[in-house]
Formats: sequence, structure tokens, C-alpha cells
Amino acid sequence: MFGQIRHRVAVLAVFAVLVSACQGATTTSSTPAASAASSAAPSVVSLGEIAIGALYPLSGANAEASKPSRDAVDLAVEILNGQHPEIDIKPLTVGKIKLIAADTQSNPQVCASEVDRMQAAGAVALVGSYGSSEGLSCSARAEQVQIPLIASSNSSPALITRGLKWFFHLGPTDETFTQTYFDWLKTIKSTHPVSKITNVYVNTQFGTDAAAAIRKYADQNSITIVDNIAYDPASADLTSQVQKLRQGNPDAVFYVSTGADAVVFMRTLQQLNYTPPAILSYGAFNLPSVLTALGPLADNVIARAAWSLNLNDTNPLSKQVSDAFTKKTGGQMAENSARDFEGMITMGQAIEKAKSKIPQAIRDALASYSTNKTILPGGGITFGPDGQNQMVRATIEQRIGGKFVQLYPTASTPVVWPMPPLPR
Amino acid sequence: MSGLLLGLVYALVATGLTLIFGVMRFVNFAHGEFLMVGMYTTFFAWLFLGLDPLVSVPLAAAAVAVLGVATYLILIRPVLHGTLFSQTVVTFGLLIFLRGVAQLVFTAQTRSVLHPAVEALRIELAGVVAGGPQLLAGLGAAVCISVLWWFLNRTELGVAVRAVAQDSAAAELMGIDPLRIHILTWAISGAMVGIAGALLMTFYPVTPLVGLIFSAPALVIIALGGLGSLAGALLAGLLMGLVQTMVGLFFPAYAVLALFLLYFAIIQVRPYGLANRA
Repeated sequence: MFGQIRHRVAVLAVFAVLVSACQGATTTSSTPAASAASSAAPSVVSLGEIAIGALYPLSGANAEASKPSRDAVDLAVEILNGQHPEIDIKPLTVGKIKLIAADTQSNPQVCASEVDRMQAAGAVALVGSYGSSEGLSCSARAEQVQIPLIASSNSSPALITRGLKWFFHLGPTDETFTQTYFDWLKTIKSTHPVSKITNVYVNTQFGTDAAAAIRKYADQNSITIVDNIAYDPASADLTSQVQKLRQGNPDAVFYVSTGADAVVFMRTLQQLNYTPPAILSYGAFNLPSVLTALGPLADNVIARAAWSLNLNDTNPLSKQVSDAFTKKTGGQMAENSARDFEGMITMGQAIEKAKSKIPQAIRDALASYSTNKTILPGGGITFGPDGQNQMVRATIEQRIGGKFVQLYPTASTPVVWPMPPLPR
Repeated sequence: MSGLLLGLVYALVATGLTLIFGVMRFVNFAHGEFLMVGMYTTFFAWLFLGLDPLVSVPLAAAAVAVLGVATYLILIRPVLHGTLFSQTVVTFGLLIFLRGVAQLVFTAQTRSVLHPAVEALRIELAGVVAGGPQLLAGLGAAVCISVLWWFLNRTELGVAVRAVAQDSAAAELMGIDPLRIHILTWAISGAMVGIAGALLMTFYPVTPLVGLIFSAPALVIIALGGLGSLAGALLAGLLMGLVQTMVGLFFPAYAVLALFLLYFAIIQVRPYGLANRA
């Protein structure tokens, strides 16, 4: 009998050895401890191909807006795989990144299900999700299936208040953006006092969260909100909303939009011959195609941004990346592409640090990740216990003469306030 | 005033939809995507040929009319006597197809015509302001609907269309070819929505998803007005434009929601729509 047991134990032991050998074929170090040990030795780790899922809407309402982000992630992968020696970012030594594209269809449910599909396809980590509602659903799913996810360009404050351990958020939330707006308003208070504002926002997760942050900071700064005007993004006409805005006669309008609705809004302002003193925007005015569609109508609109072309003057890395992006795509890097680029680079560097393809090791590497080398304002990346980048900052810009110039934290030019009448 | 103008544009979009239903008892779920094709035709005519949207009206009308006829001959005719399910799937599939093709070919970018000729026009009467593009779109819609009404009620061909709508078999016995009338109906429907697309491009941007914004109200309009009724579509369009604008003034977040609430309320007392009785 004992002989039989010994035989079974021996078979099980052989089986266990075989299983661990199989794991070793794909992962050199399977635990954080092992990875720490291996990082002490000269790096001979070879993880081979490292599959990372990129969750972006290739179709649906956000397909247009997320295209530069996808291009930026592709550029980041090229850099991590050593194809851009001219850029001052070290390529990975542990393996080559293979990006697996997922189409979230601009749909939160699809985004969540794509997390499962990516994992089944062999992805060991995820980057992306575009809209805030997408980010909320797929980060929850990533937490359930325990795969690390870095989201960068969505901004709902709700993303980081759920105690998730596998979710990391790199860009500013609307809290940060709004705080930056109100900090800037304080600095120009003597020349451009603001005592009453109107909140115009698209009735989506992004819009309502941003509007809530605006209400909070307006209250803290003793600024009266004349009206809260929410509208459906499927509205064919915004005349009544603009008429209501005009009736309130605010000192400034906080305007949260997502895309084509911003074109309708600005054209309605133009048609009704009403130009607010200042438009402080969130969202659509950072999209190149919306700016093209608006032409001179976008001039003098103020926008918050997670990255600004002006950073190229003070951050050489930012300029290198921005130039490479323009060379690759023909377009100009903007705040979304900058954030998503940094998200992919951060994921790559975390894998380099973990020296492992085990999701738990990558998550742990992200949790303790710290760098002061970034293209984003704020000068670094360190994730807090809530998964939010603790060093994140935002900038304020104004579109003048067809291009954005920085107003805050440092002003390249004086603000144009009040806005001159919209061109006819 | 803006509500009335919006209502006229809604009515023009819905006209083609109600015409097809009236003649063939067939709902074209891809009607909003036909509008999108009209808008893209106008946009690219402006971009490449420098044509103002108002000049492009005949071009957009012709382009979408051809699309309508092709749709009928290739997709609709085979299922015209099929089940309701197969008819629905065909036009719903066409909706997905056209939207996907637009996304692939034109990309999801927001595109709009800069500085259309009517941009600087503005009418202000007793404090009521109407922008030139909206005014022209509303007037254009009113003219198109009037011409269509005249065609259907005052011309021999129009009477033939109505005859097929009332009883296709009896009309055939009277020497009317239903196939030709069906083709004509799809051409008129396409032309109407093509014109709507060109007029909208004077103030509205186009994306592959624009059809959704106008097709949902259009479907409600034809149901509210009475399926197949031109006068009903006009009345319902005006009503919905007014309601959306008035509700938007006081409860801006619920302007679109109000359209559907209005429909739910009216069918309680007029289940066959405003213009139809049981």
C-alpha cells in the first residue's frame, strides 16, 4: 500500500516538475521574489514575446477621438522594442512587446468582455480604455480576472475611488483639471474677476462627473453657478440650451463636450450672435478633427490639457517623442496621445522591472513604480494606493490664431478675455 | 421659431420614410444612413469642387436617389413578400453596413462645411432670432414637402403612387406597373433625404454616426403622424421640433427624452397616429 502511495507521490512530483518547467518556458521568474533576485544579477532574462492588450474603440462614437491614442501606443511599442534609438527611452531587454488590438466599440460592456478575450488570447497586461464609462467597466473586469490595466486618457474621478488593486490611472482626473482651472482663475482674479459661471455639459458619465467637479470647486471658491445646462449628445439642435445660457449672462462658461456636439454648440452661439466672455472647455476642443471642423470658430476657446506642445520647449524627451509621433502619423501629438503614449511606456518599464510575464509580478512592479522621466507635466509618475498617478498635473491653454498657447502654469502669452465676437 | 425650423427638417427627413411605408408597408431602418450619404456627398462636393451646400442640393438628391433605387432592386425586392423579420434584418443590416463603410472610408472624423453662403444671414424679429442656415433648411424642407404633396395629389404619376399604396393588385389591373412605382418611390424617398442632408450640412457636422441622431426622431415622427401619412409627418415633425426646443429651454437634459414621452402620451388617445384613425 505504501508502495502505491509512494508511486502516486512520485507521479505527482514528476507532474509538478513538468508543470513548473512548462511555466518556466514562458516566464523566467515566476514570483516577485524571484524577479527581485534576478534583477540583482546581470540581466539575461528572456521573456520572448510579451503580449499586451490594447483596449481602444476602433468603431463607435469614440473611434475618431481615440485614433491618435492608438497611434501613440504603437509608437511607444516601437520604442520599447528598440526601433527608435534617437529617443531617450531605454528599450526593453527582457523581451519584445506584441500588441493585441481589442475593439471596445465605444461600449462599456464590450470593453469589459474584451478584457476576457485579451486574457484568453495570452495578454499578460492591458493598456487603454478611452471614455470614462469604458474605463469604469473594463477596470472592474480587470480587477476580477486579476490582470493589470493602465488607463490614461479617461478622466472620471470615479475611476480611482473604488479601491481597485489591479487598475492604474496615469492622466489627470476631472478633479485635477478643474482644480487647475480654478487655481488659474485665482491668478488672474485682479484683471478678470469671475463671480458667476454657467456649466454646460454633455449628459454622459464624462460630462456629469466633470460638471460635479466644477460645482465642487465653484462652491469652494465662492463662485455662483447661474445655470447647469446638460444636453443629450444625440441632440440635433442646441438652440434652446444656448438661449438659456445667454439669459444667465455668466462671466465664464465651463463647457464639457465630446465631439461633434461641440461643433453644433459653437455654430449655435454664432447663429444666435452670442459670445460668452470666456469658454473654459473640457473634451472636444482637444480633438484635431473638431478643431478643423470649427476653423476660426474655435479661436479663443480655453482648454485644459494633460499635455501641451509648449512642454517641448522645456522637456527634450517630450520634443523627441512629439517629433517622432508627427513623423509617424503626419499629425501633431496632443494631450490624449501623450497620455496614452506614457501609459504604454510605463507598462513596458514595469515589465522590465518585474522581469516576468506573471500578471501579479507586473502589478506589483507598477504599484512600486517610480520615475522622473516622463513627457507629461508634473515631472514624474508614481502610483498611489488608489492607483492614481500622484505626480500628475494639468495645463491650461488658449487657442489663438489656429494653435494652442499655454496660459498656466506658465503663460506664453496674455489671455484673450473677453472673447472677441465669434467670426461671421 | 427655432423649434418650428427644426421640426420642418425632422419632417423632411421623415417624409421619405413615411412615403416608402405608405406605398410598400416597409420600414427602412437605414434611412438615417441615407441622410449620412447625402451629407457626405455635400461635404466632399464642397471640399473637392468648392460647391456650397445649397448648390449641392441636386447632387445630394441624385446620389441618394440612386442609392435608394439600388437598395430597392438589390436588397428590398427579394424580400418584399418575405417575412417581417427578413425585411427588418435587410434594412437593419444595410444600416450597419453603410455605417461601417463610412467609418472605413471616411474615418470617424467630424467634418463640417466652413463658411457656407448662408452663414452670415440672420433674421431677428421681435427678439426672436433665427440663424440663416436653420432658416434656409426649414424653408427648403417646407418647399420640398409642398412639392411632394402637389406631386402626389395633383399629378397623374402621383395618383398612380397613391393607387399602388392603397391596393397594389387593383392598381396593376388598371395598367399601373407596381415595380416602376416602387422604384420611383425609393428614388423620391432618397432624393428627399438627400436634400435634407445637403441642407443640414450648412450648419450640422457629419460623422458616420449622424444617422442615429435623425433616424430615431424620424421613426417616432412617422409613427406619431400616422404611418404613411405625409400631412401627419409634417404635423408630427413640427410638434416634435417645438417640444424639443421648449423642453430644452427649461429642462435641457431631457429634450430628446421628451420626444418619446410625447409619443407615448399621444398613442394613448391616438394609437394610429395623429392623421390616421382606426
